[in-house]
Amino acid sequence: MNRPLYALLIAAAMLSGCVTINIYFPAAAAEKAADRIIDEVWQLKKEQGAKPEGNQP
Amino acid sequence: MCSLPERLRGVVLALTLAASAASQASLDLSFDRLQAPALTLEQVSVSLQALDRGPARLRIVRARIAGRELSDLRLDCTEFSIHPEVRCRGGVLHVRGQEPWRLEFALTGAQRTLEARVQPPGSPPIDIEGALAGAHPHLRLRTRAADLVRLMALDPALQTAVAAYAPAGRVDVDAQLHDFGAGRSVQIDARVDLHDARFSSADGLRGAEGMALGIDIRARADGARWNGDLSADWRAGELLWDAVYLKGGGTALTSRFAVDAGQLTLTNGALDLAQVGRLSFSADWGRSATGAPALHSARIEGRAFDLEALNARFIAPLSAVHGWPALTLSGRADIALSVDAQGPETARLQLHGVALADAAGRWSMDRVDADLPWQREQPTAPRATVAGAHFGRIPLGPFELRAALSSDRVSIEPVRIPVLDAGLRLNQLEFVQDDGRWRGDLAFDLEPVSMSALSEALGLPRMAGSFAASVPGVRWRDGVLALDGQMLIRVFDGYVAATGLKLVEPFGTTPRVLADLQMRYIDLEALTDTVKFGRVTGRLDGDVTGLELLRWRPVAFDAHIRSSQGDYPRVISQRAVQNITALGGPGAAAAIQRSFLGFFERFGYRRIGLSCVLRDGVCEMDGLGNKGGGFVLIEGGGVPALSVVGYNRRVDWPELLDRLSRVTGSAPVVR
Amino acid sequence: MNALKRIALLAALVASAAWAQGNLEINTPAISQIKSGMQARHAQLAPHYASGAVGLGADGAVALRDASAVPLAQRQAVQGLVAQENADRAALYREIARANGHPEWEADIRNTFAQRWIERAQPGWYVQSGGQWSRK
Repeated sequence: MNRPLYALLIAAAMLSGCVTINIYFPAAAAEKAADRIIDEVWQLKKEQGAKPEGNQP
Repeated sequence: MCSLPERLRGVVLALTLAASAASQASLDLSFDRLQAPALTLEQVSVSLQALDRGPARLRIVRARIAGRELSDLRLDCTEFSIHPEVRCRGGVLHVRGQEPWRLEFALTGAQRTLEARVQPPGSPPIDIEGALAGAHPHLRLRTRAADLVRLMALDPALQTAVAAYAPAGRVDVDAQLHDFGAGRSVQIDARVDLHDARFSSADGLRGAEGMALGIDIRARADGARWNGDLSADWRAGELLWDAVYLKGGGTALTSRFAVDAGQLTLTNGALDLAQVGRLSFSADWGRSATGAPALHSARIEGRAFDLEALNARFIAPLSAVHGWPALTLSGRADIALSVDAQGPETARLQLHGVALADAAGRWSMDRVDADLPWQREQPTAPRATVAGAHFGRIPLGPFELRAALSSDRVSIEPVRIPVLDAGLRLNQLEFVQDDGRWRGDLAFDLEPVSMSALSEALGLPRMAGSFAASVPGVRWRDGVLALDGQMLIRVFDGYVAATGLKLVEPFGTTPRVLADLQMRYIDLEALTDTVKFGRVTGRLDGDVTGLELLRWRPVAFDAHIRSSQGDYPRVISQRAVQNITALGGPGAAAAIQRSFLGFFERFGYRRIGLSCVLRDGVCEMDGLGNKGGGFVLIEGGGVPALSVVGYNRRVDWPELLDRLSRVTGSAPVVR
Repeated sequence: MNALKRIALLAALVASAAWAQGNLEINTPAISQIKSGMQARHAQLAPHYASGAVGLGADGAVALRDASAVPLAQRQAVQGLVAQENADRAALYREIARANGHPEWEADIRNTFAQRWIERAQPGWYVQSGGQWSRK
């Protein structure tokens, strides 16, 4: 999906020679995924669609 | 060990008899040193108010008793007499750094008959009685419900050693000492009863509760050496030691022992494990070069162990802790183990009439008789006979395994194992240790098994033909089972060849299978008869590339199925057409010419072609080519001709399996 | 050159933002299976979290931190539960990384989960941070 973007990025980096490229770990998405799994495993949410942070102290 | 006053060799330094003018006489005695075996008293002074009855005070500046040193001892007796017997009543013993002990004693007659009662602080009294002189000197020491912790505090080294386990409990002791004195062999006869005992490590993984343990020791000194018998009876309580949990009751240990300076030898040892059986043992400890206690040698033997009880008490709990699959076990086993200073030297396990099965019912072995020896230095030849076995629903006939076992290699001789009406020829099964890692190699052929017998055993609809497989080489490396070359399975008059077959962590949580499959010339008539799909006559080729199973379920593959090249009858029944239509979902039905269906039982076709690319739980379908907005699955030919066109290119994989199982009315071949 | 750098930076920002907005794939059959196994086990583990026998580790695993909270006869069973739970958790982290085409994310996913398990633990449960156990 971001393939052209990365190609551009790599090209840019090679040209300028001073930009480091990292493929970032999607921390926010991982947190969201973790919360969804934790909800299910711990059976925390009976009501669907509520915000995960909503009932946290 | 004990104070023996008759042998006190005192050096009287000063003896002063001071008679006061008044009616009261007082006496002061002092000794520079009093010595007896295991007892030395230095700078002893005694002061009496009267010889017959009255208070008295005894002071000892330094005492050495059985290796322990005490200083500033003081004994105050409220009533002390020397005549007619030496008696102290209401005595209190003060030792520096300790709480006072209560002490009373009486020493009478030529035999020096002793009666004493000592009460350490916070503990029940200890009664001591006996005769210190005469032909048979003896002493008896008794106490009931003594606090184990206070008892252990008497030996600071022991107390430190066990402190991490927070032991607690009560102890009854009844110990007798006979024939002490010069030229005699001392004899000890002791009974120790431990009750309400417990201990626990900080993490709670080692502990005991409600322990009741009786220990009997009889021993006689022979110079510096002690010989005797020991028996211990674990009557009640529970014990957890890491992964081993034991319940007391019926567990008893007896042994002869000999203790010498730095050496302990156990002989004629027996350990009775309730219901399981009896282990006999002998062992020999000495000191290593560094002076630490070290096991020199040991032998352990058990006969006719009840494996069912052994499994329930030891093996099953151990498997549960490690998450290993549970087993059911019955039968008898003999075990033998010998250990030398370097560790286990030989071991032998013999099984008699053993039934062994996976508790989940995946496999079983019946009437296993085996002799499994092992030697550290020498190769051995274990063997086993198995009267029958089950693998899944497949029964295996009787077979005998012969193996060669050495420290870095296990191999099984080629063997034929009967499977249904055929046999599995195990050509190679070998495990070799290399650089500390084990690797395995396997090669086998499966003789043609009749599909009718196989389908019956699997509880599937009766199938025709035969099934055979050839596996020339499988390698086991680092948790991956990989096939060298190809595995050939003969089935439905054609064959399925698997290449690049890999099983990753087959026994782990997420077993993965990777493979490419080629199917050639599969007889559709035989296949469709079997799966009750409706009859299709013809031949089929197929290629499945990049097949990936996770937990034995397909997660990805590119599958292409098409009619084989060649000349053969091509007929499809009405029912098969209906079923294929149902598989395609509602969209596929639209293109079928309904009007024809009612009239004909069978149709001709020219080609069948279907592909499914499975990714992310979705099967991307395609056929022989495009027609209208759909794809052709069956291209008609002959009279009457019929084409099947699908329109649903994206089909949910679980949904497809669901439809397939509904159509065939049984579990689909590929789950 | 400067213009290029600016473009590159902008692209990097956009790219990372795009990653961050996305969802991770967690609906594969393998993940569902592991999840339902863990869900079934939770009923058995929950009382041990509450008693403090089992705590939530800083490494995304559970740990038997004080077995003495459990009767002696049941401690082995709890050890077994912990071993199974940790095998499933390890498989879960691995599968999520794999399902998203980045097996190398496994350690990051484990860390994320470790924080979330601890963050969402119920009051009274024991959680680990910096090697120390504390009660929520």
